[in-house]
Amino acid sequence: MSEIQERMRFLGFDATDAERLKTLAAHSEAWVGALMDPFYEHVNSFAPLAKLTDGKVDRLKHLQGRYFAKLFGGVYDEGYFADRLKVGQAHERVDLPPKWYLPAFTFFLTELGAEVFRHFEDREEGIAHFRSLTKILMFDATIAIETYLNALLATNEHNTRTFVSQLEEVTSALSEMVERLTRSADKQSSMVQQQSTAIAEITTTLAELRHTTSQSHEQAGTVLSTTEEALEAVSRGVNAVGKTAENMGQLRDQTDSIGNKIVAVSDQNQQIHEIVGSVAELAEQSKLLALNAAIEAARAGDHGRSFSVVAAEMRDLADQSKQATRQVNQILRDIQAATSAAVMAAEEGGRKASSGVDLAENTRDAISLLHRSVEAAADSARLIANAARQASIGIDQVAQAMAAVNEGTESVSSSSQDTKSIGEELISLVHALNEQIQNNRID
Amino acid sequence: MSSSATSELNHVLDRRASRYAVPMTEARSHAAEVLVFQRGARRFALDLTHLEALRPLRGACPVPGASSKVPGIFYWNGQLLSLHDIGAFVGEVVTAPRWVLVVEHQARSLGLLADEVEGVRRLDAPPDPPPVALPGAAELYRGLLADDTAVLKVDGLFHSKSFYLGDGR
Repeated sequence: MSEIQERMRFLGFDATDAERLKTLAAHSEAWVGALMDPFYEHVNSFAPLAKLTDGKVDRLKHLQGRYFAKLFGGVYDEGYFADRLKVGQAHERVDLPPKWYLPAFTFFLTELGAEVFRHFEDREEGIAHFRSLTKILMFDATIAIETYLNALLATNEHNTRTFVSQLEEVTSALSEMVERLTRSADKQSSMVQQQSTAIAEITTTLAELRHTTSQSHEQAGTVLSTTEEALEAVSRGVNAVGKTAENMGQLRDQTDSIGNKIVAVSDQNQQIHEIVGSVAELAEQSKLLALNAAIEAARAGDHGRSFSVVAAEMRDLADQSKQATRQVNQILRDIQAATSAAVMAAEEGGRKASSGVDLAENTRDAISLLHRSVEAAADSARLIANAARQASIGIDQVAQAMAAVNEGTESVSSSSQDTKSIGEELISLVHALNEQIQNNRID
Repeated sequence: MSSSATSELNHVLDRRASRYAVPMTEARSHAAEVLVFQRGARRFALDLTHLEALRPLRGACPVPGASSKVPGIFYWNGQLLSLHDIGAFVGEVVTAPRWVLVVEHQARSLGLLADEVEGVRRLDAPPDPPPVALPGAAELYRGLLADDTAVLKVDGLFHSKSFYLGDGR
């Protein structure tokens, strides 16, 4: 027994029913035609239905006419069944839910039933035909409902397959992303660790650099202080050397004057020496005269005794004069030697004074050069101190930035650990989801 | 006149008075005055009473070929006198003399060369005998003074052939 035969048998629809419906075919077209306008007027009074029928009412009326022509056609075979399946599928395709579809059956059942009852004067005959009409409409409604259900099941199955497929794609992508996320978290964790190590090294280096910079600043300050003291000392030195040069110049002039005076003294000494020579000559002559007088007195015997005393006194005087001239000559020689030494000393002093002037001028030039060098050193020390201070400030700022970076790195490390944990949890969830998908797969 | 000058003058006068105060006989018997001079490295003395004059050595004329003991002649008061060198006689290394002593003995005179004339010295006692080793000791020297000054014999100067004529050594 076929599916249709089984269904017809269950409805109690047999050949008699088919024959009865066929007998109504000649009237059905008029009945249906009279119901079309009221039917679509009623349908279009509902917004969802009006939206579906908008611009399609004539075509729908035509299809409606064909449907009822086959309903009263008297042939209810496989072709009829296939046609009714198509009708149900067409309503399902336009998303006409059963809540609208089945009442439409009711509309036509009640209206056509009424026409059937009106058509037959014999009440039993009318009931029999009404039963046949009801059976075939219920058959059609059953097919329509099944079509709905099948379409709904197919849609659900399609949606489920699509969902599962998409879910598999999503889980696959999610799994891949989680793996990438985990690898990224591992890599990030490794980088964070390296970054922490680098930050620690940089922080240590910054501390050493800060210490070094601080020392440089202090040393630059010390150098600056020293150079300022040196500048003051050099300034004093320049003044002292200038005064020394001036004094040396005066000393040279005074030495030259002394030398000239000593030369004059030497000339006078020479004149005195000549005078003393004359005195010595006179003393010599006096002595000679006294000796000759003594000789004469001796030759005169007792008569010359008094004269010999005078001669002796003259000899004494001559000896004393000679001794005096010798002493004066010795003194003059000493004076001459002293003046010669003084002249030489004065000349040497003059030369040394000139040399001292040159040396003082050279020293002043050297100290001036030193002054400029010390000034340059002071400027350099000042620049170094400023640079060291700026560097210290910069290092502090960098240290603060590195502390902030370190905090950020620690936060990133914590986040990467969290990310890794979340990734691992996600992997577990994906694995569980995949297992669920495999368990619920519709093949 | 200052007090120091007065004191000096009184001192000189006292010294003269002390000389005058010596009795004549005593002075003549014990005292003699000699002229002390130097020739070469040695010092000599000669009695003043035998000297005519002392004069600078000027105008002396060297005699070619003469002995070093009698190197030349000189002009003195209208007469030519021979010049004698006691230094050369005793073998001293001599230098150029500056003075000449005119010695007179028994109407004869000679010139004696001297480098320096120290002055007159009074001899209060006779000199010591001269050492035998001294050249011409017996003829030329009366003796030696305490300072090795040789006191010459005037007559020895004129009578010693070796000195007066320059013979021998």
